[in-house]
Amino acid sequence: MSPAAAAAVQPGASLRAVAVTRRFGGITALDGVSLELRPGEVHGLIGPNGSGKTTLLNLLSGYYEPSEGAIALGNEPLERAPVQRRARLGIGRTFQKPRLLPTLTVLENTMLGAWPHARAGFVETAFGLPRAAREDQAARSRATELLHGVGLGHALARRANLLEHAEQRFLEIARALAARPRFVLLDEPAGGLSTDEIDHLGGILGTLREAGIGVLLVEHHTDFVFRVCDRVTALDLGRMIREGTPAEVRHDPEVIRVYLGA
Amino acid sequence: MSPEHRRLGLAALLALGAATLPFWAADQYQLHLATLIAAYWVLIGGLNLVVGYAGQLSIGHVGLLSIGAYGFAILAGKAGLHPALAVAASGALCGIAGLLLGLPSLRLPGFYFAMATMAVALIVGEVVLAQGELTGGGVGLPVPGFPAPFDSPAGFYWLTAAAAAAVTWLTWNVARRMQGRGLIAIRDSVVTAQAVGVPVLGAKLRAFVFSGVCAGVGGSLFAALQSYITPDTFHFELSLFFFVCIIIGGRGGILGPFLGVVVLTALPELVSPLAKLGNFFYGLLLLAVVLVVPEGIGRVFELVAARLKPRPVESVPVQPDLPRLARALRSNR
Amino acid sequence: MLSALVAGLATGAVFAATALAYNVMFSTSKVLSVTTGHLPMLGGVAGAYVIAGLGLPWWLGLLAAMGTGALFGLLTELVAIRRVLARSDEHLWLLSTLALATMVQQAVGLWWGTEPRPFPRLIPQDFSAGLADQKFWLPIALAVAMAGGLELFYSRTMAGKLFVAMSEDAFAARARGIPTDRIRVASYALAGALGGLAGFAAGQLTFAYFALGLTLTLNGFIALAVGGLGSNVGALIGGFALGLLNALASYWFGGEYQQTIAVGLLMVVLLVKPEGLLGSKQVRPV
Repeated sequence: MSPAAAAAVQPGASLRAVAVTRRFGGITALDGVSLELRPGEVHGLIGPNGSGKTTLLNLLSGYYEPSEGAIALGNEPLERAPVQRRARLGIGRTFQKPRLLPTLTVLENTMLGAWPHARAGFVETAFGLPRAAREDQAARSRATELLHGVGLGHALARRANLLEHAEQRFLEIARALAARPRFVLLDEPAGGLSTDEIDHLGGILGTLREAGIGVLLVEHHTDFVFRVCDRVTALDLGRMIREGTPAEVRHDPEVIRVYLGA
Repeated sequence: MSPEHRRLGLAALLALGAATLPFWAADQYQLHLATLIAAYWVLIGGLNLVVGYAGQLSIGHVGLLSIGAYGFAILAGKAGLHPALAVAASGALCGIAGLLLGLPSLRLPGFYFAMATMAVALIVGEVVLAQGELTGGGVGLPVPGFPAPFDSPAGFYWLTAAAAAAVTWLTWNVARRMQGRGLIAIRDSVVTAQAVGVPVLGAKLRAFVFSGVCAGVGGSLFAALQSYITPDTFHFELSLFFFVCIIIGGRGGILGPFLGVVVLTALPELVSPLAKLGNFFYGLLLLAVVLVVPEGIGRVFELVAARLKPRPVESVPVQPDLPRLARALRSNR
Repeated sequence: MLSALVAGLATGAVFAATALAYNVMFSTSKVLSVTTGHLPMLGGVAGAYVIAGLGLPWWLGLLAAMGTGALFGLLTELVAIRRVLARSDEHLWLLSTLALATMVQQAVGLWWGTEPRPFPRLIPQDFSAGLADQKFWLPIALAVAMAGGLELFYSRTMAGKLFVAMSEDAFAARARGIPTDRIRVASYALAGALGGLAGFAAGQLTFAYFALGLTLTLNGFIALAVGGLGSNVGALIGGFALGLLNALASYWFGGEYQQTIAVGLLMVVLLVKPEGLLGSKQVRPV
């Protein structure tokens, strides 16, 4: 997040959804759901299709506003904050279907993620003032490190539209990390990944946890979620049915009914 | 030689050729043509950020050219301002016009916005015709030239070429840095642009204002080159021409659109059957590019080069380096 | 003043007809084609050529107008829409239809000439008929008939209902076995024929003029946006409103600011109600 934002939010602050409800026309996608994402914690969000997982993620990241309830980062209310403001406050995300800039390279796509740290504006950049070049260089080296870190070091100069599916997913994660986020919200990052790739993803999530980043993991792969998460929230038809440790959630009778009975 | 070096090399060669052009141009007509291309590029280079990078479908920039041209003619001619001042004022005026042009772009989706920009171009034409006392109406206005040493054809060419070089340098700086990536994000995935924090409307407006200033300066130089302007000079087809140069040259590049301008301006002059076809030729070329190589002719060269030097895309499994990742994440808090 | 109003309604009718053609093509392809305004232009030119140029009877001119329009509609679908829809880039169709529109305008200009040429009388009538002159009521009657006809087509005929199904959810329609590709082709041919017919009816008002296309594309679009994308009644209202506004403004302030007024109207409506007067909120302009 940007230096100014870092000063504004106290360390250790959680990203919270408090009793949020979201309606679309006549449909209630989320009904009174609360969730707390703490720094240094991997929090899983599971539920069948239509349970409201992505809606909740969109509410936290700012693409929707809640019909009722509150979104907050620490003490700072966020319901009205647009997506860009949340990015500056250190909330990053990936998408269910990877959204990349196809004509740019992997490295350039990742560097884009460092936007909140680019202070040099349009005029300053146009006139070739040194700050823009400096920031670009810093973004480039950081992006290089991140890409090697997630396993894309071999593809730095490749155009993004030539990437395989797993590479696209990992690129999105690297891009989210380029902004030095406090929180990363991942929308079904394991979708379409092989077993090995899912293991790698788990390793990356562990590293994020150790770095003190709060990770929200929206996923269908329930085994994976129970394996890597510290806490899990289970949704069904827009309502929260259980929140707790993986062990608690996986043995909850309601959760079992929803997943096995469905 | 990497593609980047190849491009820089080609650009350097072009720059050299452009700088020495008055010495090797065959006749005054070719010099005039080169000056015209340079004046067009002053506008199109700026427009490139709006169309080629930010992906905004602005087909009304002939209106801005017109404001720049008439602004210069009126300020330097009727009001007697020094031409340098008149160019600056014209640029500023057009910058504001560019801002107004870009404002609807957030609310209006693609086709709507394109139509709105087309309407703006026609409105400018209407106003120019209607305000006869100021603009000379249908009769037009004479345009004063620049003082020495820019009053000779070669001198004026160097002035215009310098302006074109300046626009190229400014846009190149923006394009290769974060600002340029932000614009490309707006073009290819607004959702991504928002997610990384790009202020979409603000970034678009900055590009529009910049393109406006360029149009104002380009329009002034264009007017001085023509030495007499009438409303007919600024027909809507010119807007199409600007837009087509960028699309054909390839969005997301600078060299491509520049070559586009050169080829599309020079070709009808040199190949006279094409001149008769006029806009039919531009339309045909645009259609061909859109259907066959939508990324523009610049991309064709890249693809051909890739064919000639095949580098098999090895399928390397993703292999994270977790300690390195941890270090990278640590290195900033 | 009355003559200004009638003239305004008549030009408005041409805008309305263009807006109707937009609707027909949009319903099946979700594309707003820049070539739409060129359909009436082609109708007028074809009609004038066949009747005045070749000396053939008026109904052959009518067939020529509709046929030329339909052919150009088919060409648009084949060349500018079909291949482009398959690609993911949203705005390619704007470029391809813009390219095709430029080509057809220039081609007609080269062949027919760049001066507006007179369109022949269709029904024997004195030129001193004043307000009852057919150049006014032909386009007005046709525009209303077209809108009514389209509504009947959509609600009463099987083919029309397929159009509606496709416009509401093309994916579901295809899943139910509806031949969406063929319907799209048919819709472009239909829009072409209707546009050509409108140009034929309005020829005495607009003259046979190659540059009409772009003006109609823009003004027809303004009528469409004001009335609401997807609404045929809205197209009529938008068209007539625009025509009347232009005529009244000309009458009171002189004819110099027509385009400015048209865009002004559009901006006001879009600011207040972005989906147009009768547009539905769900139909988000693509």
